[in-house]
Amino acid sequence: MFKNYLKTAWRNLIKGRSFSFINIAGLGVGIACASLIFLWVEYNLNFNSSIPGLNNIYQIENNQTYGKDMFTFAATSVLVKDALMQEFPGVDNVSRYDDASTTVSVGNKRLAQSGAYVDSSFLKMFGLPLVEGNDKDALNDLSKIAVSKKLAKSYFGNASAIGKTLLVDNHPYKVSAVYKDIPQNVQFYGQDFLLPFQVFYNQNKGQGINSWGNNWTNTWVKLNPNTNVTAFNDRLRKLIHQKSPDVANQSLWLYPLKRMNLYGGFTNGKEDASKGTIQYIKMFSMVALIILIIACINFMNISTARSQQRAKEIGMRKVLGSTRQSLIAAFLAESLIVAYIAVLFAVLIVAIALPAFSNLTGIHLTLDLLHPSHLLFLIVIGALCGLVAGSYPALYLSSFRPVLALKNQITKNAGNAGFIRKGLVVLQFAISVTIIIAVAVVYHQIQFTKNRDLGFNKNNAMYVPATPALTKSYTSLKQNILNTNKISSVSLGGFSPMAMYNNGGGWKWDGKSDEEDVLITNVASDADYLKTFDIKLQSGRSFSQDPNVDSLNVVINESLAKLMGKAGHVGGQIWRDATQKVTIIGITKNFVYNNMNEIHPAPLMFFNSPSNANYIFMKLNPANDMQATISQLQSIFQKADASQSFDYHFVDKDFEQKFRNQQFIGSLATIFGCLAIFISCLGLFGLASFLAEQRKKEIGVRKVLGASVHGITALLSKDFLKLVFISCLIAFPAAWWIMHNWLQSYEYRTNLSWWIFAVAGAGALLITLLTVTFQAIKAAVANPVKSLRSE
Amino acid sequence: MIKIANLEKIYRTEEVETVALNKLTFSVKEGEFVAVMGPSGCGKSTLLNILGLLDDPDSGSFLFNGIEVAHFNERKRADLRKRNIGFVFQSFNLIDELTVFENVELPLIYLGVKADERKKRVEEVLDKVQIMHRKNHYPQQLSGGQQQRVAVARAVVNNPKLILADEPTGNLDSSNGNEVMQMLTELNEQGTTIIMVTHSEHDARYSHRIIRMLDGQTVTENILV
Repeated sequence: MFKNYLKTAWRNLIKGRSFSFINIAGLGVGIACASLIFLWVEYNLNFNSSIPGLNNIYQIENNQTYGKDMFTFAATSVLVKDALMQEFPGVDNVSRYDDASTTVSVGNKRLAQSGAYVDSSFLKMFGLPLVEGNDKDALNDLSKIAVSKKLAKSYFGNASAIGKTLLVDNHPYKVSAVYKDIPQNVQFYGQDFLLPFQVFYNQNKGQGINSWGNNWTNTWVKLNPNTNVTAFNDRLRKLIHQKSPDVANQSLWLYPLKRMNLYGGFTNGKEDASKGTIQYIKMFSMVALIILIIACINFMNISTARSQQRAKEIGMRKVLGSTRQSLIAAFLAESLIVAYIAVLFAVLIVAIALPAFSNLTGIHLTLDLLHPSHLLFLIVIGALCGLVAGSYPALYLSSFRPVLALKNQITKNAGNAGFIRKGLVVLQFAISVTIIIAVAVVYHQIQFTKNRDLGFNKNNAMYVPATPALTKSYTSLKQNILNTNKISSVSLGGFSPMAMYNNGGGWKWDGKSDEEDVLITNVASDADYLKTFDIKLQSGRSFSQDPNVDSLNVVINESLAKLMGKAGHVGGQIWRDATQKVTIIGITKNFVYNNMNEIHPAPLMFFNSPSNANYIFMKLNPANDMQATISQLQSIFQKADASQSFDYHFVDKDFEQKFRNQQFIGSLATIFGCLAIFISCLGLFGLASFLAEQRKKEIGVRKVLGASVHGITALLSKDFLKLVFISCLIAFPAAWWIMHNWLQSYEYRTNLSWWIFAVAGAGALLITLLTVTFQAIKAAVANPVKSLRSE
Repeated sequence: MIKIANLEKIYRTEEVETVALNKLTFSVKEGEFVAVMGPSGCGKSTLLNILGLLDDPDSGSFLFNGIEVAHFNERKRADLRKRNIGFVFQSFNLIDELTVFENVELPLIYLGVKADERKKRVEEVLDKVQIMHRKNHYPQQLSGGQQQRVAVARAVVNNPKLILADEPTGNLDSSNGNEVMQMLTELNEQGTTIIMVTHSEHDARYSHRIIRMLDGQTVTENILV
C-alpha cells in the first residue's frame, strides 16, 4: 500500500507541476532560512565548547558601587592571582590577561598584531593545542613568546619558528611555542602572540599597578570540579575589603566562561540576559519559525484549494474500501515527499547564500551534510514541515464524503475550508506586514541615532598609537604634520570619544555627601584635544600649550558640573586626597561618548597629561585627497619611529562599528522580511492562479454578457485586496506593541511615526495587487469561447 | 441477501427539505439481477448509495446478509463494502494517476492481499474483460468502452457478492453498452447479485426484475421472464 501511495504522490506532483513548484519553492526558501539561522545559532551555542574543562573555567567580575549605581567590570587587581593560588582551596589554575595590540617585527617586516599578556598557566588552562613547544615552559621566562601558526608562517614561512627572535615594541623575544590558530568560536580568537604577564607588569610598575583598588587586568580561574562555587564566591566577595579595607565599594565574583557568549552582560551586579547574544538567538529562532509557518500555510492553502482536482480520486478510494486513516497517511506521505524535495532545494540555496550570509554575520559558517547535527536538523525539519504543512490538507481531503466527491459537489460543504484558507492568507500577510514595519523602525532608529548631534565632530579624525618614540619626539612630529597643510589639528589623548573606558571613583568636592561615591570617566588629553574634536566649551578655557601650566587643572563636562551643584563652576575644586587636588578651568557642553544611544553622558574629566596619552589624534582636511594624505603621514610617522608599522584608525569607522549589532539585526530582518513576503506572494500567486482557473466558466459568461477586462480584473483582485487590508488592521497594533517595547531599550530613540505604518500597508497592498493582477488579467483576456466550449 | 424496510432519507438545507426516500421497502435475493428505474429525482441514486453503504439512511432498516447495517459507522461500512460490494459508475471513475493494472489492483490492496496474489488475480480479470494488452496505459489513453471494461474489472476483482451499477452504459455507444451489459449478465450467471440503476429500457431487459420508483417510493415491480 505504501508503494501505491508513493506512486500516486509522485504522479500527482508531476501532474500539477506548477503548483508543485510553488509548494517546493516556498518550503525550500523557508527551510533554507531556517537552516542559515540554525547554523548561526549552532555557532553561538557551541562557542567555547572546544575548550577542555569549560565548565570549570570562570572570569572574575568586579561589582563596583558608586552612589545608587552598581557597575560590573571584568577587571581586577593584578594581586588577585597570587591570593587565589595561595589562599583559596579548590583552585587548579589562575591566569591574568591583558590585550596587547602592537607592532611585531622581524628584519624589515613590521606588522600590527593582536596578542595578550598572560601568565604561564594560560596555555594549559585553555587547552590551546601546540604545534611546537610545550605548555609547561613556553612562557616561564621574560624573554619568551608563544605565537600562533599564522603569525609564525607570516614571519618565518614553513621553517620552524622555535628559537627565532621577534621584536615586540622593539624588545626582542625568543619564540618558545607555536600554537594552532585560535578558532573563530573561541574566546581569544585573533590573538596571535602571547607574552608573559610579567612583561606588562614591569612596564607599568611605577603607576600604581600594585594596588588592590586599581584594576589593571582580567583574571581567569580554573576550579577543581569538586569545588563548591557558592562558598568560593562568598569568600571571594570579601577578598578586596580584607586585603585593603579602604576599598569598600568593590567585590569580586566568578562568572562562568560557558555563559559569556550568550549572556555576558550585567545590570546592577547581576547577569542581564537582555544584554547578551541569547536575545538575538531567541529573536532569530522565532523568525525562522515564522517563515516556516508562512511556507507551511502556503502549502496548506494551495493543497486545499486544489482539492476539487483530487475529489474523484478520494471518493473512489473510499468507495473501494480505504479508511480515512489510510487516506490521511497517504496525504502525509505526499507532503513528506514535497518537504524532502524542498530540503534538497534548500541545501542548494544555502550553499549559494552561505558566503554572503557569513559575510553579513562576520562568522565563517559551513553546512556539512556529514556532520550528525546538520544531517539530523535537515531530516527533522523536513519531517516537521511535511507533517505540519500536510496535516490540515490531509484532514480536510480525507473528510470528503464519497458520494459528494464522486459528483464533484464537495464545494457544498467547503464553506469552512474557504474560511480557513482566507484566515491563513490573512495570517501570512499580517506576519509579513509586521516584519515590514519592524524593519522600517529598526532602520529608522539606526539613522536617527547616526544623524544625532554628538556634540563633537567625528569626521576625518584619524588616530595612531602613541609609542614611546613618538611621544618623545612629539613636538617635532606635530610640527611636521601641521607643515603638510593637510591637517588642521593634532593632539595627544588617552582615548577617542568612542572608547573612553578609563574611569574611577573616590573624588570629592564641596557639598558632596561622603556616603555616595561617583564614577567619573578620566581622559588624558592636551591643549588641542578639544579643538581636534570640536568639543565646545560652555565656560572657561581649554588647557594651555605649556604642559606645566595646567598640570593640576581639569576640564569637566556639563554632567559633572551639574552633579557638583554649587561647586561645579570654573574655579571649583575636586580632590581625592591631599596629593590629588585639581581645579576646574573649563566646562564643556555635554557630548556623547561610548554609548551612542545615551541621552545624559556620564560625568567626565579631562586631565592635562599628554605623557599618559595612548594615541595621537589628527583632524584631516577633507578637501585633500585622503589616500595621498595618509601616505604622506605614513612617511612622517615612519621617520619618527621606524620600528612601528603605521597602524591608523578613523573615529567615524569606530562610530559605524557601534551600530554593527543594530545593522546586523536590521540586515537580517530585511532579508528575512523580504523572504517572508516572497513566500507569501508565491502562495498568493498560486492561489490566484487556481481560483482564476476555477472561475473560468463564470468569467466566460461575464465576458459574453459584456464585462470589460478591467471589470473582471477588479472582480478577481478585490477579494485578495480585502484580505490583505484585514491583515494590515491586525498587523498595525501588533507591530506597534512589539516595536514600542524594542525601542524602550534605547535611551535615545525615535518615535513610531504614522507614515511607517501607512507605507508598510500601502506596500503590502501594492505587492498583492502586482501578484494577483497578472493572473487576473490573464483570465480576463482569455477567449470566452474556449472556456464555455469546454464546459 | 438485501432487505430494506421503511427506509427514509431526507436532504435538508436552510430553506428546503427534500424527501429522497420515503419509507421504501423491498428486498433482493442472492443471485438476482434487479434493475431500478424512474424519472430524475425519484431517489434511485440515493437508494444505490445506501445499498452500497456510501450513505446512511435517516431511519428504517437495512439488512445485508442478515446483518443490520443501517447505522454502521464509516469504518464498519468501509470494511463491509470492500469485502462484499463492487461498483460500476456511469462516468467510470477510474483514478487518472494510476495505470489500468493499478486501478484494478486497488481494491485488493485495501483488502491486504499480498503482491503476488494481487498480480495473479488482476491479470486474470483483465484477461477476462479483454483489456490485458493495455494494462500499463492510463485511463486518459483509453476509449470510453475500454475504460468501462476496466471499471468492471475493478468491480469484480475482489469477487464481490454484490455489484451496484449506476447507469453503466450512460456514457457509452450502443455497441460498447451491449458489451458491458453482456459482462454483467455473465457475472450474474456466475452467481453475483446485481442491482443496476438505469434509464434505458433496453438495458433493463437484461435484468430479472424491474423496480420502478417515483418520489422516493416503489410504484411497480415487474418480473421478467
